[in-house]
Amino acid sequence: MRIFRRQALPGFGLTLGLVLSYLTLIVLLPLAALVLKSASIGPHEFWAAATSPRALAAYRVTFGSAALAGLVNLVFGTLLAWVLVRYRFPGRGFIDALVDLPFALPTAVAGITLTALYAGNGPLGRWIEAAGYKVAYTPNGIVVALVFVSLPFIVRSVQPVLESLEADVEEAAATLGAGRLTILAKVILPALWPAILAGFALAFARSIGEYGSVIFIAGNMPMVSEIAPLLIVAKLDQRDYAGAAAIAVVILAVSFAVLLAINLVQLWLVRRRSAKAVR
Amino acid sequence: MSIEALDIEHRYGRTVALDKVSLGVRSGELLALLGPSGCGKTTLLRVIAGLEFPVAGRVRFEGRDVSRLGARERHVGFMFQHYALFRHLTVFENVAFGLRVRPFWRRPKRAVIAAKVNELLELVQLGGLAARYPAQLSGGQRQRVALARALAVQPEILLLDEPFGALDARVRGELRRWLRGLHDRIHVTSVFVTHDQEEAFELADRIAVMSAGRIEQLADPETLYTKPASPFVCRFLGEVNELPFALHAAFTRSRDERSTAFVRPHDLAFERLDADGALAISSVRDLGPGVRIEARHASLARPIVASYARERHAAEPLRVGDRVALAPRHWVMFGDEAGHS
Amino acid sequence: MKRGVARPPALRDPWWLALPLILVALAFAALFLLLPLVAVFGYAFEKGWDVFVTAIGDPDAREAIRLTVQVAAISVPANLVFGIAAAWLVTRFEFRGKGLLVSLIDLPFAVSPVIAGLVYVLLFGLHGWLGEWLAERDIHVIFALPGIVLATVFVTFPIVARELIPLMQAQGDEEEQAARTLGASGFTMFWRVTLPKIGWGLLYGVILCNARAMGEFGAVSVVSGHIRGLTNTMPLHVEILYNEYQSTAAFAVAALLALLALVTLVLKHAIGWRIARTTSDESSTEARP
Repeated sequence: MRIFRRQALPGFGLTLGLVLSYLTLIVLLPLAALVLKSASIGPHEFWAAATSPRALAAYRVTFGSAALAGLVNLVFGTLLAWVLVRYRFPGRGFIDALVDLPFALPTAVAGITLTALYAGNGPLGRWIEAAGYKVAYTPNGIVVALVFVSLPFIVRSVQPVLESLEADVEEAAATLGAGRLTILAKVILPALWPAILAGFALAFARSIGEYGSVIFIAGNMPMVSEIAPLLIVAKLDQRDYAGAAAIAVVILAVSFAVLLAINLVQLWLVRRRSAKAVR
Repeated sequence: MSIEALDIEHRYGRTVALDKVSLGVRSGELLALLGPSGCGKTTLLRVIAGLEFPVAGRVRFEGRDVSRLGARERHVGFMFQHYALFRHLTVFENVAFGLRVRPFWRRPKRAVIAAKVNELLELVQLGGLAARYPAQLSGGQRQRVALARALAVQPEILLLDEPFGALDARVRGELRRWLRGLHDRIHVTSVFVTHDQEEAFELADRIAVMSAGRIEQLADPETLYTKPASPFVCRFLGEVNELPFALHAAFTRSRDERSTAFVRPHDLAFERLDADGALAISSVRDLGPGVRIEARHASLARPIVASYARERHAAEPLRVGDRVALAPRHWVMFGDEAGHS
Repeated sequence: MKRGVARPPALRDPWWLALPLILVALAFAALFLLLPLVAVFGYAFEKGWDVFVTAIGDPDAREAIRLTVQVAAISVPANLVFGIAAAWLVTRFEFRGKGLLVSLIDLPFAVSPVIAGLVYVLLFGLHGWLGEWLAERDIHVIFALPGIVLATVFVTFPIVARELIPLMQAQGDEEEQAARTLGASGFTMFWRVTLPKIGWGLLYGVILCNARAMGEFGAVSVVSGHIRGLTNTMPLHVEILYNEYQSTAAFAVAALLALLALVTLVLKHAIGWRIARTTSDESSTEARP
């Protein structure tokens, strides 16, 4: 356990040194610079910059759209995972591979494509506007972009859990006379919840930082459809470094809080389950 | 080459794995480290190999202190429990590995390596499988590849971690006798770890019985069986009846009221009493080679067991309900620390 | 691998339940996954092959492609070395603070790309902590190649390590220990035992890392300064063309990036399948005669 005792395999000192220095130089020092910068303007200025009406509106748009997109994926992503794992149909392997597309497709490409599709003269936008709605250049567009970007997080987090669900548990429930719906509600969903929740949190954390796919379709009207990352860029363009840093610190804090919370909740769920098993 | 481990102390976090263990292995002998899982036997083996570095203690090979040397510098052959064959290399390349990775000035010529590897593969009877990959071999074949690989570097010490643990019972017995035969031919100092007392008895010259990070007893199999040093050793080496003073005083003539007599089932006979007694036969079961007879006593939670040869039972049959007295041929006494459960 | 196991009949859902579910899921996947992918290529070739070729052949576009490849060629190997070192450290040794270290390695995933760019501007920009010092020495980091590389390295930081850690954890370290007892040096052990063992996983990580490095937009956008022909990567070039209403040209460059994404997906699945096969080989060969 002590750091300096001899280890059976070589390379401890080398890799520890390499990892720590690389991590410090690339990640930790720059993030520290961000926090220092935002602190350098004093608490009052910081508070003013972080909670200006425009910033508050940007948070509302960002967090609201991220939550909405997460909810859409919570339903449809879970459904997609279920269908991919449980049913056999032509094209299943292709769709399964396609789920990773948002991971692989550069966000700017996704952004301009979705915009072209949902714009008033686009193939989808035409229909939507004929029905009296607007997607592109409104907050709705942000949600569409975020649904695309964060879809894989939920599917890929639910899929392995569904796959590892042992058939015998469901069979046991069936032999005990439970119907499909009861099995779904009492056996499958409880097992899936932690994965769905984790997927939602990852999707949410990714969404609140997303930039490339959103800025094309959003319309970027301050107070209406301006996301927080864009506000950071705007502040940077105005050379308001402290203001940019302040908003960045808020977004970072929310991301970390979400990921920390999900880790704690998952830990708690696992503990509770194993405690039940012991009883 | 002899091995000495002196006052080895090792911990994993807060659990003590080895508690000031000392062990001497004589040159050329085959020694077994025997104990239940978690007793520290594998840790001790890895400490000797230089794969684990203890918190305190020394390891000497032939009197030379190697405590500070790593596995690479100790030149021991080590066979891992799951063999740790290189999955991306053929059987031939696996065995040749130790020779090929030598620095070029000590590396044998290609042809020499090939000859050496083929010789070893013949020795472990795998001559025809040189081009196979580990995934294409059975468990027993993998084990022999691992052994050939360890022997290729001509180690003077061979360490084997549960060498038969991953094999099924039939192959196990066969390989055991083969390994003993091999050792008798090459005489390399060998230590192997096992939790199977039968395996230890069949293979080893001497056996170190371990429990909770300590060596309970180091002796040859006969001494171990007839003169166990502690109740643990006695219990670990097979089924044994533990008789409290009230039951053993009659034949041991002991005066120590806290002592316990340990009697093996095959060392025990029941004598039928015509009078009434506290001990009654509760079960008689024919097991094929012998007969297992159990008697119950009101003060004991578990029955007292005797195993009879068939002929003997035929000559003087016992029936359930018979009142009996104990007539052991051999027993071992332990004092207070025997600790009844 | 549980995938592909047929469910026992008792648990097979009736068609009137399965079919609607499949259709809804497929419609969703078609709308959000398939349609955008098809649309990229559709828009790129809307005006024919020649227009596409002209757009790609434009000097600024070529320069953007060159820069993108250059950035990936620096940042991917850097993260490759780091990823291997981190995975070795985390899976082969026990030490205090390991959990914290693993969380820190994952940290960049939780940071918005825009913030990843911002931190380097705050450090190296003209008004940043080191800005003056760098300016005096005429060293350009922001609005230049080093800044773009740094931002790219930041956002792709955990990818290789993340792929390797679970793989190396599952493989265990007995083979490396065996190599040591057979006298292999640290380098020989790594080169002859570890590297062949993790090869496919490593390739998997590199491919994902490369895709992300070439496609990164937000972080690079903040540090690049959008100087045409100089600090413009492909995704940034897409943005410029799009904002100048050169839609077809924008989609032409975008189609190249989408092609990269497709190749990445295909390789990812091919390699993922390979890894799954070699791992299941390990566990299912116990009982051969």
